[in-house]
Amino acid sequence: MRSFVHLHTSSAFSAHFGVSWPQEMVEAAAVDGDALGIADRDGLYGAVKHVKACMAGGIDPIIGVDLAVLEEGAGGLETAGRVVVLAHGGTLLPAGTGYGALCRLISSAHAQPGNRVGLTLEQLAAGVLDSSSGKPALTVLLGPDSPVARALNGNRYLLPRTRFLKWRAAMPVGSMVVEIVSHQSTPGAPMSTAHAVRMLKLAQEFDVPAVLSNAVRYAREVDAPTADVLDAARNIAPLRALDRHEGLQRTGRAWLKSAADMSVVAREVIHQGGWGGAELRQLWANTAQLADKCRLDPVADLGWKTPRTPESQVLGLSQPATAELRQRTEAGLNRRFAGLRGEKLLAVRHRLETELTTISGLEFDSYFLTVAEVSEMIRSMGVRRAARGSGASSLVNYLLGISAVDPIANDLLFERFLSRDRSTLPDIDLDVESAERHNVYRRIFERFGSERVTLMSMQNSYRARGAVRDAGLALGMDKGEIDRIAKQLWRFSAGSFREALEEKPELRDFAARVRESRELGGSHREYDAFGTDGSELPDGTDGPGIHDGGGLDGGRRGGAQLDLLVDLTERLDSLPRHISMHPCGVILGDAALLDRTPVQPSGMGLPMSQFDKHDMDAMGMLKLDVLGVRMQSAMAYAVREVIRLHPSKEAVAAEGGHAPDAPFIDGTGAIDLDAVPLDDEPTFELIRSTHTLGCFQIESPGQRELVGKMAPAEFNDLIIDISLFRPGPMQSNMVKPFLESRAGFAAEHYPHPDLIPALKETHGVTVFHEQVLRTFHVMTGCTLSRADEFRRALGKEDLEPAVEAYFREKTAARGYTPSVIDEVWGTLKAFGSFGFCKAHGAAFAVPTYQSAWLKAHHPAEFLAGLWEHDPGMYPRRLLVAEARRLGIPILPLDINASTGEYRAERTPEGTTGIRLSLAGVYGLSGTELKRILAAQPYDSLADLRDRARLSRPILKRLAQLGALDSLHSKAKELTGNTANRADLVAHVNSLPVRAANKRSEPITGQIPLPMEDVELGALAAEHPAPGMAETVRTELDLLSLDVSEHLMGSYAPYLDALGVHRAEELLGLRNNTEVLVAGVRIATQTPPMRGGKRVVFISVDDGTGCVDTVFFTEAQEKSGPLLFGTRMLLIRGLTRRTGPRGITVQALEAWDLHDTASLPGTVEVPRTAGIAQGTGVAGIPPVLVGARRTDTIEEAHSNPRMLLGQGAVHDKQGVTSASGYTDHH
Amino acid sequence: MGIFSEAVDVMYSAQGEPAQLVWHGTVYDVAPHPLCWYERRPWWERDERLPPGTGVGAVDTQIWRMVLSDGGAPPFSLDVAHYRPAGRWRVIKVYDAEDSFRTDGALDGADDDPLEGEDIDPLDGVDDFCPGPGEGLDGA
Repeated sequence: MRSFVHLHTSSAFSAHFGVSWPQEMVEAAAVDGDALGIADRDGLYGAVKHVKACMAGGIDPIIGVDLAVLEEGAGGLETAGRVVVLAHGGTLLPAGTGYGALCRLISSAHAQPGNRVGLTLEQLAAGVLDSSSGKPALTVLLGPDSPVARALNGNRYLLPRTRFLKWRAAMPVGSMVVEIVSHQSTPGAPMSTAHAVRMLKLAQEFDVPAVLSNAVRYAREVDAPTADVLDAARNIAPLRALDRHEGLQRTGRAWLKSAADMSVVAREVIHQGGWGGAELRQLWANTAQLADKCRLDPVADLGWKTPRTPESQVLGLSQPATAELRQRTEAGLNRRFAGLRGEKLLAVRHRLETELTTISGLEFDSYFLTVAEVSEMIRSMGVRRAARGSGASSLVNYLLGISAVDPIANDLLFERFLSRDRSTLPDIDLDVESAERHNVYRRIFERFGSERVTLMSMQNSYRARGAVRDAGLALGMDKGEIDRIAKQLWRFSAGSFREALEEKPELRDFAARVRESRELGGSHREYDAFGTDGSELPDGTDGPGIHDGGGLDGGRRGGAQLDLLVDLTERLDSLPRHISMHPCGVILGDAALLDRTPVQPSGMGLPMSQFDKHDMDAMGMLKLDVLGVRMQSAMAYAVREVIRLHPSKEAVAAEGGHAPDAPFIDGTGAIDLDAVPLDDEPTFELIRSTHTLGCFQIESPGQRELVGKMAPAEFNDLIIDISLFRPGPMQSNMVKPFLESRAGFAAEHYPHPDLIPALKETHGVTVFHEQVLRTFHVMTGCTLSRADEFRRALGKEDLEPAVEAYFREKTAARGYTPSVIDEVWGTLKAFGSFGFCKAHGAAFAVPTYQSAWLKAHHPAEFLAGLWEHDPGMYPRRLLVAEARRLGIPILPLDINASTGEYRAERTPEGTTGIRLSLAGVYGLSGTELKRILAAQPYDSLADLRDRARLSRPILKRLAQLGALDSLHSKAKELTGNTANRADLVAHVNSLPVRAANKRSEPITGQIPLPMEDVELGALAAEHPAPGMAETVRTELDLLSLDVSEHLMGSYAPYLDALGVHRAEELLGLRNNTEVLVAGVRIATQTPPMRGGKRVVFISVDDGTGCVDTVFFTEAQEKSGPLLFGTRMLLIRGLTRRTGPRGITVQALEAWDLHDTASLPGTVEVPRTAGIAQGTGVAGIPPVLVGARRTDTIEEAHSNPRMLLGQGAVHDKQGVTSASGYTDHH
Repeated sequence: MGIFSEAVDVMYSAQGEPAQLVWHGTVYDVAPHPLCWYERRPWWERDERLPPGTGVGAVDTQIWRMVLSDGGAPPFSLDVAHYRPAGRWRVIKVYDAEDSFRTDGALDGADDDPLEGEDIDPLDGVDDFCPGPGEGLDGA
């Protein structure tokens, strides 16, 4: 069969529409075609992946878009249909013209008023022309969903012709073809052959060329049901409601058909239209001809892998970038290494020379200058920033001020960051204060011009929970039931749902229901079976045309669909759902950037590219990661609070216990955290105490355990600590030998004396990538940059054997013994691929140290910063306990003393406490908050009502939380009134609903007369004062905090009766003691484990501290559904001592504290226990109070907070350590 | 016109179109170029399983409209459903001989003159011989 080129293929990157990945499409197309066109919906979301796949598959890429057409309707612009627009290649026009026009066309389609996406016919007609030559750069395909084809419905004659004429008149000559598609639906329906015939007749009648396509949505016929499910998800409606309507595909014939199958379709159209061979050949030839016109050359048309940076005049350069970079780094050298002389200076100069040569050889000079420009701009904004990642390995970055880590002192290798052996662009990541991130982005746009800058996007894909929800929606299942199922899905991909059903204890109940439904389904089986084979048709109910499931006796009820639910969930696995702004990527280019990527508005308003991080390197796009880090905001906030309370150098030094002449404090009391010496003893003492809650990177249970054992004494220890705390080192059991050697329990072991210099700092254990590089370098004599290439090949099945062969040959030739070679290779093979880059560790260690320093010297201000910016892995309520432990008073909410922030406040007793913020009150709107703040202080309840104009519910909440107590007690002092808070709440509740009465507002500028609060002074004292349990419940409901007492407080009698141990008591117990512990879940982690067995780590908080528990397979089996769903837990287990200050509990069994019937013992659970359910009066979702859940590592990486290692990354890996060196398995 | 649901056997031509049909022991010749289309089926109510990698014939059912003759009686038409992946054939609708309609090449002679006063395409004759999507089975 002749070859056929599909011009219209929507990939999986057409969210909620396309089913197959570009590479699947290309594989199918390459069988009998030599090109493939992608046309994703409203964007180029899959285009770069498509080009990559085409290049790999040896066929030509064609790029287009499936774009909405807008028409003016009753309610403004409305979608009137869709057309495909293809970019022309460089045969008739200068290369890149067609692709550039397509990018701009798509961007303009996303710039319509009212968030409409699409173009009007006029805009389309204007956009297809190349502005410089006036020739068409794009071809529009008027297909089966176009406004013209839509007019064919109802067999109208004139309307389609009128519309066609309008299109032909508007579109420039040679820019439009008719797209003939038949999905062989019911004759006369849309997508039927009859419709295709009519379109072809119109094309003939008006002399417009016609091409053949299949409007492809999936690669294979078997993928058709998945498209149905996506149709349901897109329309947010069950399949049965969609059926026969526009939203559902007409048939399942939209796969990437072979040339032979396409020929059958073409022949049917030609035959039914009464045409013959000439017309058939013409249709086929037109298609091939358009394909030829649109073939793209990745390099010439797209600028494949050709980096573009802002032009030198934008950077303000008066000399070539190479010379500028040399000059600036020279200046940096004199500044950073002012005291260096002789050999040492020579070594630094030599390093600089190597780096500069490499950089200019790769022509990346302007990239470094661009990053330096951004970094300096952020500094000048007064925003904290820090370089992160392997960029810290570069001396150039250090000298330009991009990075604060000295790569010479920390022994970091440039080759790990950049080398001539690597063609990919380097990544330099900048951390900034999270609260300032958007401002920084805006300034970057201003500085470089919006034509050179855009944000990067990211694809959000179906994971198990989202997939099961949408599959359930498609099947029309009960939403509550689907929710309950979704909540049980924990950390596996949707694609392995069925496998998970067999294995995971928490899915046991669900699995049983699936089996049950299968048995129930047996009654349907006789007639279900003919569904696809027609073997039995007793009542003739299957076959075509039965669509309304509603009244059908075969309609499934209740659980009967569960088996199908599992299958559909698996089908949705990892399909893209939507794009959103990447948490940190900013793309910087030259003035032609918007000819190379389409952009669309992001959530924050700034434009974002339709390309994601996987597309950057291929498109030669320079991506700068500017990541918002909450800890940086928290630290900046803490420093500001320190100055606010202590506005002089002397006061700050006295408060923080610093030397009076400490150089890092300026005259105003401002602390320069980056200037704080890295050898502060109280800071390391704090870290060793393991009271590191709130400290960057080292607050998770596992990290607290590790720092306790490792007892860091200097900055380099922190780098090692952070680097050890990764899945790789944990899984390879590197931690134990390291700790033993460090403690002197075991002799340090080196495979060969040559390796001592490289491995000394980690006692012979290979921890860092840098050590892997040095090992290769020392033992084989290869260059460090070559060594980095070898390192990258480790763990890759196709590449590793060659590395091993090279390693063995070279080392043997250099005289190493076989046993040494075997041992070293074993180490390289095991850790090389996932060890940690020391530069990363060093960059992370800086904020770790700084946060610990603040906690050691200015704890109240630091905690206030944590409270305000919430950077950590734990819920805020855990900080209450930490404040209690530190003796820092938590000052209650007060209508006059509280602000919209968590502020440090001097107490009358002379200590510093933390005043709760009004912003934390549930349901208080931003406007109400502003009004309260604007009119503070208030001298009476009436004053508050009049000037803050609060709604009654908010006033009531404030009263319940005690925020009005100060007004009340003042009035009581004057009158001797004895009413309590309950009386106050009752009174507020009885007030009339506030009418918006302008007259009652005081005239602006009028000073309210100080007067007695008659109202509060005369309150009737008739209600009992609220008890502690009620107060705590109110606090949890309205503030998500248990301030007055820990929420476990009310369980105390029950727990005591059971003999439950408190967290603070555990350290005093012997190893292997059987205990009962209880508490509120604060963290759950399921880190990847050696051997593949899942281990679940659950930390609970009982008011005296955290208990870290670990559930192995058997305990998971016993606990089943409790593992992930339950918040208040009672756990039986054995104590496991992990170090001098660390103890964990190996769980044997767990109970839900609320499921009273199941609990051991006969003691009645206190009535107030319900407070922790979080479903109290205000209806706060439990998640507000509960632990911050973290799912998988992958999820962590797509989550900005986790990327920082503030959430799952470190804590998940952290708990790995719990098993990593307590030898539980 | 009658409603049926009976199994039949179909033999293909070299071009992949039904050429002969065996019904009640009689072998009929199928006139060339039988009309073929696909009708949706509500798989979510019918199928118990649809794991990834399966699903041919789940979303739609192949329908053929054939004109049959056995050389004797006048030709008549029927609609036959082809159930995949099992490959079974069932008659779903039989047209009496007097149900005259154009089948093969029905569109050939279509006249493009619009009907006076109405925006109706003359090709709508197509619909005359198309059953409603449910017709032929609902009443069974």
